Amino acid sequence: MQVEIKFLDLPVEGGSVTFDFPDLKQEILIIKKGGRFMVYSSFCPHFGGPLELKGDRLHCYFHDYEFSLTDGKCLNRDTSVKCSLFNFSIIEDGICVDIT
Amino acid sequence: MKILKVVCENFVAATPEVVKWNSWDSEHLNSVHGAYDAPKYLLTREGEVLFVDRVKVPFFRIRLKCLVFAIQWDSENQITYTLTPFFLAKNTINVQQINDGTTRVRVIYEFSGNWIQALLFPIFKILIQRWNQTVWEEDLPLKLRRQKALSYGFIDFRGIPDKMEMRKDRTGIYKASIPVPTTRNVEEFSHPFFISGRS
Ligand code: FES
Ligand SMILES: [Fe+2]
Repeated sequence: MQVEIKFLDLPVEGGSVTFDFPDLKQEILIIKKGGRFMVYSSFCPHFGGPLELKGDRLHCYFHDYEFSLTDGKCLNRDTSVKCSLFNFSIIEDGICVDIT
Repeated sequence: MKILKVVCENFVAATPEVVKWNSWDSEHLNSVHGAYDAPKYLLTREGEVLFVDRVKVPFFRIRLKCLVFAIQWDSENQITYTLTPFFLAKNTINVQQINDGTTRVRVIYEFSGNWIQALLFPIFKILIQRWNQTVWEEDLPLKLRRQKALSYGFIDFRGIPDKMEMRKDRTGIYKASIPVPTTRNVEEFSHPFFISGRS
């Protein structure tokens, strides 16, 4: 399943925006860093807390877990939990994310 | 011996199991409430934990060393005994589904003290009510978020399933594991008296 997000709604450099798709049962977090967009599931893989962009990593305030922006691995706990990254393509007026 | 009893009641749009998950989740105590240091567990087994910790006294800047024993007494009641250098407290969290979408959470705080401590009970009562409200408001987003995650088919330590057809609403089938599993943290389980088992 794919969703389209218009350029106007995407975050500016260093920012992030969350989009909820209740019908598709997924919520995504889009960030922009170094001129690149990255798309994640906004549900922390630990117990589902909300992921937020904090500096150069993703952070969940429920239990203070932090995740790598590049591979989703947990950076500050001895655990293999990983957050999900989504592929997307650039289309004419925005991006198209495959959230299956 | 004098007893102070204070009853606080709140309602939430989440299942009783989500409420239990929140109240048995030890890892959020510090990150969300800042009320505890990392606990040092002495005993854990299904439905019960015993640990030592330093707990922040509500509205004061002091931390008290305490011994805490918590047990899931039955499907609706979690009971916690807290022993500090100054008092013994019993705390009962009663969780009941009152209709399809709403759960009532009633917390009964009980403190025992001598007649001198009893002089402070009226102040204690006000502080406990304020404490309960503060903690409730800090916890509410966790319960609602967890409810939403489960309704999207969230699986603990994994996330939302990749495939759309696997994203089944799990709110009705979810059962909280008690105590809530924590990631390996050597410090918390490093006490020489620590034992862990099954009941
Ligand atoms: S739910 Fe995110 S750190 Fe636990
Ligand atoms: Fe809490």
